[in-house]
Amino acid sequence: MPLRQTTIQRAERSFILWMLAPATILMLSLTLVPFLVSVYLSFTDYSLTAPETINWVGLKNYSDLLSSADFWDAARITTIFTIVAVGIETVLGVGIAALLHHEVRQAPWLRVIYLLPMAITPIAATFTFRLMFNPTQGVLNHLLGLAGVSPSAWTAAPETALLSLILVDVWQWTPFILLIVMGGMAALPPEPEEASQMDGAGPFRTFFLVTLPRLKPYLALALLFRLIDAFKTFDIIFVLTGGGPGVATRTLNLLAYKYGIEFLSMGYASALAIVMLVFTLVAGQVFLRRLGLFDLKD
Amino acid sequence: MTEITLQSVTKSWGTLTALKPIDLHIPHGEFLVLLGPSGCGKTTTMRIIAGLETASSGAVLKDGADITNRLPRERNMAMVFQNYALYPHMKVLDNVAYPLRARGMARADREKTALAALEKVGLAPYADRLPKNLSGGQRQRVALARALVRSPDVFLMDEPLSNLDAKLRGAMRAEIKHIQRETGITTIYVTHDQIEAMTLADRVIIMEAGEIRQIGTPDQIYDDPDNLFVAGFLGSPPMNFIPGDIQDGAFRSGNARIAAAGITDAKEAQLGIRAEDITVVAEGEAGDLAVTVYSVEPTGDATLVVADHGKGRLVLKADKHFRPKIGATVNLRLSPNGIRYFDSASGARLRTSQ
Repeated sequence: MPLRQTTIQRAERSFILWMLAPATILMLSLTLVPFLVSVYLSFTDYSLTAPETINWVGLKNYSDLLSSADFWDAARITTIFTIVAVGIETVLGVGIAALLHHEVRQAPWLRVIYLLPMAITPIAATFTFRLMFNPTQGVLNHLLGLAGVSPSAWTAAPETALLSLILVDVWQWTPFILLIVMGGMAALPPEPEEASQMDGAGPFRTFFLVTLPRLKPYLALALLFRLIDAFKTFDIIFVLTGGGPGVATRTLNLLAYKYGIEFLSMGYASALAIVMLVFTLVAGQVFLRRLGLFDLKD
Repeated sequence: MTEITLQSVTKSWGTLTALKPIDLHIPHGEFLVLLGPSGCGKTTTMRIIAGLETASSGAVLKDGADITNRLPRERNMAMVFQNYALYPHMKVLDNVAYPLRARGMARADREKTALAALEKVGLAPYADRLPKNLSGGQRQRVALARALVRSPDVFLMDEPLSNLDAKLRGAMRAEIKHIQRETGITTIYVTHDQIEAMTLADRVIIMEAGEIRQIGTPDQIYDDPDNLFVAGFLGSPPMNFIPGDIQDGAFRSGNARIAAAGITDAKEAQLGIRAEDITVVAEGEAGDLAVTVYSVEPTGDATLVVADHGKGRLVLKADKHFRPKIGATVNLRLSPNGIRYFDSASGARLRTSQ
C-alpha cells in the first residue's frame, strides 16, 4: 500500500495543478477543441451557405476528395513545391554553412546578414517580391534585360509561376537550414575533421565522409521542420499567385482555402485539412524512424 | 628517414603570444616528448608540426624541405588525439581504413591492410562495431591502428592517454613504446604527465609559457635541471627547495651551513634537493639540517616524511619502517651529490665554476 500523502504533499499537488490550469485550458481551447470540431465537421455536409443544417454524411467527403482530380493535382503541385524548395534550401544552406563555418570568427556580422530574410516580416517580403516579379515594371526583368536575357513572365505564366514561388521560399528559408547546420557544426568537436586532414583527405572528402554524416541529426531536424512548413505554405502563394495562373500553383492548402473560405463548404474543406494533417504526421514519423535520429553520439 | 626541424617558430593570436621563437631538431627515429603544464605551448608546437596551425613566423623543415605552408595531408604524418577523434558514424574497420581510402586504395586491399593493423592492437574481433560501442581504451587502440595503418613518416600524439584510467594508461604506455621501437618511426608526444614523459622519451622538452625551458634525456632533466621550473616540475614528490644565500662557498639558511664550493656568491639562492637524497641521521649524531616532523605518509615501499625546516616544508623519503612522531625534531643529512643551487630571482641554475 502506498504511503499516505501528507498534507504538505497534497497542498503542493493542488498548487501545481492550479498553476498549470490556465495554460492547459488555453492550449486545449485553442488547439484541441478546434481540431475535434474540424474532425467532426469533416464527417458532415456543413456549409456556411446553409449554416442551420448539419447532416452526418460519414466518409462521403473523404471519398469525394480522394476521387477528385483537383485534389490529386493539388497534391502533385504541393509535392513538387515542397521537395524542390526544401531540396534547394538544403543544398544552399549546407553549402553556405560549410563555407561560412571557418570564416565567421573573422566576420560575425556575416551570420546576421544571412539570417535577415527570416527576420523580415513575411508579408512585407512577399509584397516586395510581387513588385520585383512584375513582368513590365519589375526589377528582375530589368536585371535580366541588362544581362541580355529575354524577360520572364514570372508569376504570370503557368510555366514559371511555381518556380517563382520556389525562388521566394528558397530566399526566405535557406537561412533556417543554414542556422541549424551552423549550430551543429559549432557544437560538434572539430577533431574528426582534423583527423581526416591528417589522414590525407582533401576538403571535399572530409566534408562528405566526415562532416556531413555527423551533421545528420541536425540536418534531419531542419529538414523535418522545413518539409512540414513548406507542405502547408500559404502566405507567399496566396499573395503572389493566389493559386494561379489557372490552377498552376494551387497547392492543397490553397485548395482547402478555396473550398472552405470561397465555397464555404466547411465539411469538405475540413476533410481536406484532416487528410493533410494525417499525411504530415505519418510522413514525419516515417522520416524520423528511417533516419534513426539522435543516435549518432560518439 | 625523417627528421624534423623547427627554425625560430612563433605563434601568436592577436596580442596573445602562444610561442616565443622555438628552435628544435628532432633526428630520425627519436621518441620526443613535449612536457609542460597546460597552456605552455606544447600542443601548439605539435599542431604547427602537423600543419593544423600555421606558424606566425619561422619555418618547419621535414628532411630539410620547407613544409611550413604545406597542408596537413601533404605531410604524411599520423596523429593520435586526446579524445580519439574517431569517425563516430563509421565502423572500426572503416575508421582504420580511412587513411588508405583517402589515398585511393581499392576497398578489398584497404580492408585487408586495416584488419592487419587492428590485429596488431588486438582489436580484430571488433572490426564491425561502431566506436560508441567500445571502451575508452579500445577506442584509443583504434586511433593507434588508424595512425599505424599507412606507415607515416612521423607519429604525432596529443595527450593520447589522458582520457584513460590509471591502470590502462600504464598498459597503453608500454604498448605505444613497443610499437614505436618496433616501427622506428619518429614520434612527437605531447603530455603534461611527467611519468609518461620519463618512461617514454628518448629526449624530453620541457616547456613553460611558450618557451623551451630545457631539452635533454629523461635522466638529464631529472638529475641536472637547468632551472627552478624544471626542477620543481619533475619528480614525485617534486624537488625540495630551501631558501637562503651563498657566501664564500657556503649555503646559509637559518643555522644551517651547507658546502657550496665553487658556486659564486648569491644574495638570494635556493638549495634544491630531491626527497631520495635526504637521509635521517641516527639520534645524537649531527646533521646538515634540523627539521620538525609535520606529517608522515607511508607509501608501501618507503615512508614520505613532510617536515618544517623553518623557512618552509620539505619532503623526504625514509625507510618504510621509519615512523617518527609528529612534532618530533629530526636531524637530516643532505647528500652532497643531490644538492643543486639556483638563483632565486632568475630561477637559473648556479653551477660550479670550473
